[in-house]
Order: sequence, then C-alpha cells, then structure tokens
Amino acid sequence: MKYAWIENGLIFIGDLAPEGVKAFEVPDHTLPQDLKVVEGQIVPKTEEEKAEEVREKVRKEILKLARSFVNRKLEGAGYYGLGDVKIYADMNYREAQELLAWYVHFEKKLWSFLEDLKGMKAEDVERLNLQELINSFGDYTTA
Amino acid sequence: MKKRISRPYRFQYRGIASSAEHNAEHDLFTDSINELYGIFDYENGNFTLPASSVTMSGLRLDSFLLVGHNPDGTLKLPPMPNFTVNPSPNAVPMAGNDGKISVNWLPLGHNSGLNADTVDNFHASQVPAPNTIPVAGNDGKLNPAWLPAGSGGGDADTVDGFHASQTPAPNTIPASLSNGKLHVNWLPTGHGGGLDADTVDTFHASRTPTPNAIPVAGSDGKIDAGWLPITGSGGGSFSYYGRLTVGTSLPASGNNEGDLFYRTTDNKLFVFRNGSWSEINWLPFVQASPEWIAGRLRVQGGQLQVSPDGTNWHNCIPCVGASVIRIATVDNTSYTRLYWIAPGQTVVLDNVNHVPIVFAKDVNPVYNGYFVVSYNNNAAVDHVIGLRPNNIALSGGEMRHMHSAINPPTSLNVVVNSNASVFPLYLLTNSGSMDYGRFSVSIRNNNVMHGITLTQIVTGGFTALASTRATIPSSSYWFGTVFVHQSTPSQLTVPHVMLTRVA
Repeated sequence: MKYAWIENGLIFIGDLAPEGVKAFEVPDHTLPQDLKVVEGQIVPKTEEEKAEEVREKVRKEILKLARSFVNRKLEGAGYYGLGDVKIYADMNYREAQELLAWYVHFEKKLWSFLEDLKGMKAEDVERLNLQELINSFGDYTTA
Repeated sequence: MKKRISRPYRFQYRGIASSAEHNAEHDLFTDSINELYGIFDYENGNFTLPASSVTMSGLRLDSFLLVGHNPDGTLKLPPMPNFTVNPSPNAVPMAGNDGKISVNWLPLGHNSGLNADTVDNFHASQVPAPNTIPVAGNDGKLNPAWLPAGSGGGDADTVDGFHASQTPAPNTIPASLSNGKLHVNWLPTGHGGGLDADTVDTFHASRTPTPNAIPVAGSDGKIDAGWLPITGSGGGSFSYYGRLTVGTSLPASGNNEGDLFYRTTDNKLFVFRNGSWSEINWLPFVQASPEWIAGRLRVQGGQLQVSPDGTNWHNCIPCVGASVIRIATVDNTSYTRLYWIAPGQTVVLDNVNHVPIVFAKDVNPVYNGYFVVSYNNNAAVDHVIGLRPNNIALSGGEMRHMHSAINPPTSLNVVVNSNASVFPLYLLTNSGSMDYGRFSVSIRNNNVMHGITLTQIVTGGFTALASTRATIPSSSYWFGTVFVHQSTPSQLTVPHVMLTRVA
C-alpha cells in the first residue's frame, strides 16, 4: 500500500506521506497519472479515461511518425513537399503522379487506422509497433 | 706591743714661760707621739702597721691583701695578659705609634657579632627613614618603601651587570621602543632561530586538523589529509580517486591506496594511505557547504543530517576524501545509504537502481551527470527514463525532446511529454535505444527540478536534446529512484552513473 497526496495542485505517490498532509491510501503500482482530483479528493480515473489518454498519446505519436515518413519519402524523390508534387503531377509528370497516388493511399490507410484506434482497448494500443504500422501504410504499388 | 717614749724631765725656762706651761706643752707633744705610735706595732726596732687598723671606705685592707701578697710582704699580682700591638690570641691590644690599634683586632665579616652603633654616622633601621641604613626585615627582604617608587623613581645603571638598550646588542637588556614594542632584531628569528611563539596572528598551530588552527606536518613531513578541502580547483583534494565503503569495522585486507571507509559505529571517516587507515575530519568540509550555512545540514550525535525544510532531518553519510569517489556501498532495496556531496565533488555509482545523493533545494544546487546504460524501447509509445526524488511518483513530469529524423538524420522532430511520473532525463521513442546520456540538473527552492539532457540514441546513430522539468514534493531531499515511465513503470538498474555537484 502506498499513499497519495496533493501538493501544489499535483498528485504525488510515495511510501510515506509528509506529516500534516491529507493522504489517501492507493494500491501499489498506482501512478499519479491514474488518479485525478475531484473536489479536493483524490479519486482514480476510470478505465475509459485511462484508455482514452493512451489512445490520444498514440494518435499524436503516429501522426508525428506519419509526417516524418512522408517527408522522407518526398525528400528521397527530390520534392520539397506535397505542393511541389501536385504541381508536377498536374504537368503530367508520371513520377509525380505516382507519388501523389502513393500519398493518397497512405493517407487513406492512416485515417482508417485512426478511426479504428478510437475503439481499441488500451492494452491493444500499447502493443502496437507504430513504426511498423507506418511502414505498412506506405506499402503501395501502382501495378 | 706599742712603742712608747718617756716624758722628758721638766724644767723652768726663765722668764719666758712657766715651767708648768712648758711641761704641759711637752706632755702634749709626747702624748701625741705616743698616740701615733699606738697605731703601729713595734718590735725589734721595727714599726709595723696592723692591717686591722686600716680601713678604706669600709674596705678592709687586710682582707684585700690577705691573698694578694707574697710571703715577703710584697703584693701578689694576678697573671697579667700579654700587651701587644699585633693582634694575637689571648693578648691585650695596645695602640701603635699612630695612637690606634690595628683593625685586625676587630671581629670582621658576616656573623662576626660586631655591632656598630653607626656606619659613617648613619644608623641602621628596618623601618624606612631618612638618612638611615636599611636593614632586611624578618623575611630577609627590605621594606619596599625603601625603594624610590613611581615614575620619578631611581634609575639603576645595570641589572646583574647588564646594561639596558633599545638597540639590540650582545649582553644587553632589551628596552621597548617608543611604540611600546621591542625591536624585532632582539628575537632569534629565521629558520633554526629557536623562536617558539605561542600563536601567529592569534592562531595556534596543530598537527590535528582543527578549525582556526595552523597546520603542522606530522612525523612523515606531511600535513594530515584532513587539513585539505575535499574538492576544489586542482590541488586542494586529498587524492584524485577513492573508493568509499560503509561498515562497522575497518577492513583489514583488500585495501587499495586512497580507499575510503565510513564507520557507522562512531560516524568516522578514514582514508587508506601508506598501508594504514587514517581518520579524516569531515566536519570542516560539511561546515563550509552552503546548506550548512543555510541551516539545512547539521551534525546530531555525530551523525550528519540533511533537512528539506529545517524541521525534518534525515541521516546521510559525508562523501568526502577524494576528488572522485566511487561509492561501493549502496542499498538497492530500502535506500538506507544516502550520501552528501560538497560542491565540486564527483561520485561514481555502479549497478544502482537509485541515485543515493542528498540535496538541499533551498540552496539551489546544480549537478551534472552521466548515465551509461543500454535501454531499448520496443513499445509503441515513448518511454521516459528519469528520477523519482525520495522514491515518490510524480505527476506532470515534462519533457521537450528534439531529435533528428532517423533516416536520413537531417530533419528535426520534436516530442512533448508532459505527464511523466518521473523527473525526465531521457526519452526513447518507439524502437529507440540508448547507450549513453548526460544531463545537467538544477534543483530550485520552489520545488522545481530543471534539466538539460543529451542522449546518444543508437538507432541511426543520432543525438537527442531535451529540456525537462518537474515539480517535486517539498519533502524531497535525495535524487531518488531510477524509473522508466510507461503504462506500467518499471525500476531501471543503471550499470554506471556519474554525478558531479557543480554548486
């Protein structure tokens, strides 16, 4: 058993609470991130609240990875950005048209995943390998 | 028998006097003669005067002469002494031609018994008086009143034959200068001069390290290591490196030069030097620290204690004695061995799941550190490696992490993690791994820890830079445990941790 207390608006958890501070007993391995303050009382977050926090974190992470993945792809092909690709595609450059088609496919996969993410359990989300997932979104051939 | 004469015949002298008158006169003459004769005895034609008939103012001459005459009637005089001008035993002094007896007749010298009335017309006295010769009192000393006291007193020419002088000179009594001090040349100064002062500028000398004392070399010609500050720029250290062990008795074997040992039974610190243990007085180094001055460090019953607030005190061990100290005794279970380090001190820890170094946030200390650790993050989410001060889980540990893209490592990515349960040091994105990282940490008196960290990430061989901060409990007083913040945080054992206190 450990003790949680509030200090400077933040929750801390330790083996002993400071003297003179109102403390709440919490199970071992409880994190401050698992708790919240409601009307001066420390209460645990619901499983759904914790799952949503995990999902939000993964959502941000995968968007960051996707942006990096796309940038690398464009830079590798010699384009400054998607606007540059669009200009050359409109000029009927085949390479640019293929790259634009790849991006449409990639974005479709990505947003499809983000929709699926909303219904995923926290433990399933934490088992994801995001980099491999991004790489799989990028697997696309026009053939 | 008395001599008598017969009266002569009477005759008449014509015309002049009657025979009766003549005869009367004649008879008177005869009677007077006979009366005179009656004093003496007469025999055989000799007159003798009976001694009994002689009186001298009541003194009988016969008694006086009874034993004082010889058989022939002459007086018998007593034996007469020898009268002489030359002093000799049993002789009577006699004046010489100058009318004076020799001075040698007098019993001169100490205890001679000669008792003169005056000397040169001056009388002697024990009581001070004008024109008087002083005499010692019953204590053998003169009454001080005989001496000319006060500034107008007497002026001796010498003392025991030595003159006084303000100028240093052989066989001379030193006199102070006008400033009331002796000329320095009176002193046997210089090496080998034999001058042995009690203090120098009011400071005493000592072989044992003591506050406000002048160090003296021991029999080995070296001062005790306890005189030196534990750290500092350059040569102020006892030694460059030492391994600190904590226990109840000094190890008898397996010791290396420079090893340190803290004995918990009496809270004494020792260094192994020249084959034996010597005590280090750690107190001066503790007292010179900013937290001691701030009232956040104290010694209670010989035990060093640190406090986060001046009210609650916690035991710790003074980690002093070398510039770099490898702490060999740690408690990875209960964290009971906590160490205090002074500004400038570096410590090395091996295989630790915590950093057992205490701090006093009120003095705003700053530390630099290094982690040598291999950690791979194969999870989908970021992992943050950091510290839980006092082994307390935090909320709101914040990190802004910048690193280059993996392939090619040219673009810059930024990650913000703002809800870690640790004070963040390193962040590993998914698939990221690190071998080495360093950090700079400032602990502020507003209970906020700030950090700048640099991580060498193995994957892709690039480097990450992070800015971190976290609010810690006000009760925090030590760096705490090492944790990886993830959905289920886990404590991390680090092969090597190095920490230097900057200020």
